[in-house]
Amino acid sequence: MRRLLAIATFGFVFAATGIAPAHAADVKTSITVDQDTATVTGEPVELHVQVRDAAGHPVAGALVRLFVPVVFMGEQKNEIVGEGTTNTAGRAVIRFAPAQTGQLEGTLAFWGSHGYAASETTVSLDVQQAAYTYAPEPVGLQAWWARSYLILVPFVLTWMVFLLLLWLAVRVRRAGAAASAPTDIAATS
Amino acid sequence: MSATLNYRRARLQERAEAPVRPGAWGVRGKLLVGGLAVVVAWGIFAWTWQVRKGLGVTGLNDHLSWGFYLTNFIFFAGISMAGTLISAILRLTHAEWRRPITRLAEMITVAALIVVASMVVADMGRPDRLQFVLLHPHMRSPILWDVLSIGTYLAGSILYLYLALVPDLAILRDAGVGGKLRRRLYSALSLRWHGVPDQRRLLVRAIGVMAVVIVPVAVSVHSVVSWIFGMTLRSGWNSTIFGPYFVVGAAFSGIAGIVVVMAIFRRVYHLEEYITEKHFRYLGSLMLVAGVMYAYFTLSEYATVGYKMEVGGGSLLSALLVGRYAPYFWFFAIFGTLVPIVLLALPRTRTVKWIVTAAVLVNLGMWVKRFVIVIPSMALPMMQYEWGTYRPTWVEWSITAAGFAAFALVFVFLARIFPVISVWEIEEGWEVETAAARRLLPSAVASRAAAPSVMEEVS
Repeated sequence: MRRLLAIATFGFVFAATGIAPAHAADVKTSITVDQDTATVTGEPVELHVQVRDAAGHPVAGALVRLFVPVVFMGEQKNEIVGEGTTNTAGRAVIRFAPAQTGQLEGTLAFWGSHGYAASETTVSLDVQQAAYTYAPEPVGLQAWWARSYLILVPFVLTWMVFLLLLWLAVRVRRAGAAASAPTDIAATS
Repeated sequence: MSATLNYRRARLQERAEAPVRPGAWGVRGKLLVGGLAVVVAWGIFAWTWQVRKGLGVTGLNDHLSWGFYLTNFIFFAGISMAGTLISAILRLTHAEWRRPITRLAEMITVAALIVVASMVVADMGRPDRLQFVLLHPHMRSPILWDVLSIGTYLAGSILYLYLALVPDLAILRDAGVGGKLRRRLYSALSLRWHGVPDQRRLLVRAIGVMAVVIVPVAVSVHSVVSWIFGMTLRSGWNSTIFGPYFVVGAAFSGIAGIVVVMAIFRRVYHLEEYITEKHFRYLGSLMLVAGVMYAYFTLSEYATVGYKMEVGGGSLLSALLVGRYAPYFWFFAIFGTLVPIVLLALPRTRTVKWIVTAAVLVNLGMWVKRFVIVIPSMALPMMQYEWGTYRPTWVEWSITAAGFAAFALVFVFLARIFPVISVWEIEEGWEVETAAARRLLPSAVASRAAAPSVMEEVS
């Protein structure tokens, strides 16, 4: 009964967290990282990680993932932004390019496998604004001409033609007045 | 001047003046105007209801914020193309047959554009928001471009209609038509027209300039209307061909609109002598060309989407061809395009009756097509959500009905005050014909034996 309860509990934890619980027989592991302490936005940063077991021996074939906190649709989540698998020396390189400035607190996690227990460590990066900024040519409605008042030019010209035509209409009236003037004089006399 | 020409002139003037004379309408005319006024009044009530309660009383929602109002907006913008196409383009190309129908075409444009502007106001929900477009213009917004181009087109169309009316207003002034107010109106608007050479020269120049200017303005209207959609990153709208697609569509429905109006006025005012079967056939040919081009654009638009079948475009196409919007799409494709093209292409059906039937189908089909352009693309989810739904309420149906009634009412109002056929242009046409005959006749007589066809050309 106790055995069944234990299996159910572990099963529940596994299902709820998606992380396989460390088996009692699993060898404990640890992750170390030689990190760049500072980087700039848009530039890839390399995290050199090493996974060792409790005896200090390198763990090969361990998949290490880098999580960073992100806000998606108003909800705080941890997003996987990079991963790497350790070589025979237990080393892996994880690359990613931070997009936002500020202190970035990430987590490097190994979920455990092949008799090795899961382990994790934190990584902290000071992300600075890049010295240069990307200034891509805006497209579509962001184009400079679309923002400017140039769009008014054809309309202003058209309205000027309308005014010209109204002036022609006034001239038509004047010509009519001139033509009918003798008739008017005759009528009044 | 020959007695025959005098008789023709007197008869033409009598025919043109008849509708604007007091008591010309009779009971049926008054009933028609009363009925239209009731529908418009009901629409105004529905609109005030919407203003008081908010757009929540319509079928519009956060997912589908454009519905019937935008459909009507594009439809009437398309109808307004008629004035430019018939009057300006045919004037510029010296198409002599245009003369009896230019006035109707110009009136259609003005009436349609008034409805276009009112539909924008209805769609905004709160009419006071219109001031923000003007007080705080956002230069990169196609909505602002729309306001500018439609305002310019409306002003230009009124001016164009007016310039071509001046000589006819003088005829009404001289004939003393109407009561005191109408006589004053005709006198003021006729610009002391006496037809002296100076006046003719100035007026012809003004109309010529206007004909040149109004064509690009009209094309800009339909292009800008299309860009409201085409410059949006949304499946079904994000297309580079929307500008010409809308311009051709406007020509298609605009010509159909004038054919229907022509048929009604020809029958009601007995204008068979001036608006002849030839006019229907010529306009039918233009409608056929526009229809074939529109069908081609439609095929091109959907074929490219259907070949790629991207997630959004593919879903939209499936919904249009076999899904929830298939009845609308196929109604447009079959009854709004295919059947009219066949009717207009077959020599046997190139009669007034069938051309008018084709025009009615085109108008119905093109309204549905505008619905198909607006609604499905808005209903298509941009993320993994359900399709949006749109069920127009009584408010939208009422305002839509009022829009059509207002179009008819404005038109009837214009026809009640101004002649629906351009008397001076028809007379000018006779003069052109006579001059051409005089030029050709001597040579025709001299070379009759050699070239008998010259006489046929004269006749």
